[in-house]
Amino acid sequence: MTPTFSPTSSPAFGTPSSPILSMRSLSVSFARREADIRAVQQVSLDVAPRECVGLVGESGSGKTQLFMAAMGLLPSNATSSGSVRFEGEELLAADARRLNRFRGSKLTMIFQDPMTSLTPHLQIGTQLAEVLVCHADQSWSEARKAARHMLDRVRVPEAIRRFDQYPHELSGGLRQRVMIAMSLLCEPRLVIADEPTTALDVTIQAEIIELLRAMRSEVGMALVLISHDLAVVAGLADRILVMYAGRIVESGATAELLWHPRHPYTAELINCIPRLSGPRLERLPTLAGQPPQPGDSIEGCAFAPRCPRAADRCRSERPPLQDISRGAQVACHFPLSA
Amino acid sequence: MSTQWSDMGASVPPREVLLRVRNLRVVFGALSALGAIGRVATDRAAVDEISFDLFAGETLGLVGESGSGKTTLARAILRLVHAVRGSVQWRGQDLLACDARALRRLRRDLQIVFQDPLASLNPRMTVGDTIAEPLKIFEPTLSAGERQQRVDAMLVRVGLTPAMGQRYPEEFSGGQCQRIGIARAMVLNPQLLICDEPVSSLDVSIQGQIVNLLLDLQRDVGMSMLFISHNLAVVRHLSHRVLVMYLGRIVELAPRHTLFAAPLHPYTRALLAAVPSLLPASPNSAPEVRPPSSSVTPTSGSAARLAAGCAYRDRCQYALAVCTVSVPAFDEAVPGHFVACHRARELTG
Repeated sequence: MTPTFSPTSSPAFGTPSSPILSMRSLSVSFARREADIRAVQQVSLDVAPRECVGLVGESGSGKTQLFMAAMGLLPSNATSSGSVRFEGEELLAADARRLNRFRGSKLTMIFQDPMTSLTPHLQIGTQLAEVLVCHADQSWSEARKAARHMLDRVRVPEAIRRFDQYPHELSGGLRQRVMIAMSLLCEPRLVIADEPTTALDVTIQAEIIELLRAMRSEVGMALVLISHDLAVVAGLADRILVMYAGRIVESGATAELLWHPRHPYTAELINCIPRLSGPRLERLPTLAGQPPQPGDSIEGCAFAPRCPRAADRCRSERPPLQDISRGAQVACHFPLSA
Repeated sequence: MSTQWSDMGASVPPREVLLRVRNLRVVFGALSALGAIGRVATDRAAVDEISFDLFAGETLGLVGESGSGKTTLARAILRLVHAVRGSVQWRGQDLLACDARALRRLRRDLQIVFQDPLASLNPRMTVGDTIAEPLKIFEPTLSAGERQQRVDAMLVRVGLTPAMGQRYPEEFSGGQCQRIGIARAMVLNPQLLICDEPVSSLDVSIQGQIVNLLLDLQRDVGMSMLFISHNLAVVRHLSHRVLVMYLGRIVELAPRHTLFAAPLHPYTRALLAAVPSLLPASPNSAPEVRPPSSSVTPTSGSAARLAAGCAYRDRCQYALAVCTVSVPAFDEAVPGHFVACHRARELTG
């Protein structure tokens, strides 16, 4: 079965332009003694210039591995197949030297835990300047000046003092601002943010979301926002992709997908999120059962065992990801009506 | 302190005070280069001036950001950390003053469920042995068969099967491990269950299962809960009253409905405003996260500055000169609604 592809740009951006990132049939598996674990299976997606794509899924759904593969950051026991093109260049087969022409400069990544992704024994200023020295051939003095300017742009208060501090001297929110500054230094075309606010308190999370929003309009990069939290993604993304058990099960424009989810999993996920307003329910809505483990062999639809709409066909035949309306796709034999 | 149960709806729990905490203070010494000699200068209170009552059958939600002292407060109540001042009375008996034997006897009534479900289980004990251990300690007269019956019944009660008792924690998912942790805590029929971020590490589709399990157990057994969470929506769902902490102190305590509908403390307001909303206003409007309140600036406060004035003043858009010099008292602004803010009365209007 051949998956079908939607137009590359989201409706919000008018004229279609060629995608900066294009994945085709990307699969990632991990070698294990018993059986290979297939973390990502046959994922195809495009990211258009300046677009913000949200990628949501529960732990183990493969959302992180998808982009680790794109960045060439998979561990040595992992194998990937398919194709990942960044501005037309194939990344999947590229060696580190070729990858590093984009990676860290035009294609950057922000991780969940800023403490472990910053180098603990280097001052903030040095870490930032190093990016420009390595990727933009700047002198250290030029680079330090540009780095200090970038700290101001990401609203780090007292940037001059922070410049000479070490990561452990900064709060979690400030460290994430430094990570964002680092990802933006070389005017990237695409930033991949993997759970950028998950380790932060809710007030700091709101600030970081605001900062990412501001940076999108100031810098104009495309943004892939990976999160387990639909609400975080909802605030920024033009388009949302939902992953389950290593596959994309639904994609669509943000408001449309949240208001009119077509895949039962998306609908159940939205239903499960406890709300701050509205009627308070006696019991929280739940999704029965467990998501499949990455090692499980799955016949038919991976969501069928937990799905209220599942029929015999769902347990034997895997539904392909198909266009369901303009810009929206769903992998379900019995999608919900719009 | 008299508290109104106006928010309780149909099921009004009895008003017996189970736990009475007064002026509790816990200090962690930060070891300086001078070692013990330098300690005094760098000591700071992790929790300070904490006073509240917990009623029988009640769920008290405890919210606050990381570093606000939520977990330390829970541990101080159980005497897992040492409180330097204050009292914790359990049904009239001071937990902080009683000797080791009396403490051990009381502890069977106060149980705790931890945040990390896998790390809080012994990896080398079967699940059945883990749940049986409290019974061996507190009910040594039980025969092996009786104990097994209790363990099996508990496993079923938390949604697992007796056969699963033979297996080890690593064979279970996060949600199942949390069910095991709850079974271990509930097997002695405690009167107070302290839940320290019990659903924070679980996927959203699993969170509801655990919250509903706790609610079912409370309905059947009637235990009180101190439910610690940074997730305000979860706290709203299961709490009768909610307590908000900021840098070691309680800033607000109110019935659930009041706290979410009419918060008084500027920090509580900022906290609620910061929660991203899931659904945009309509399918056609652009999705929007409510912008963070301007009162929340990137420089979060530091506990070291707590000594003089209100700890929240640096982030507070309503701060006046008085806020920098005197610590606001924790007063009952409206019946049942306590707040520590110099300007609470003005802001109410």
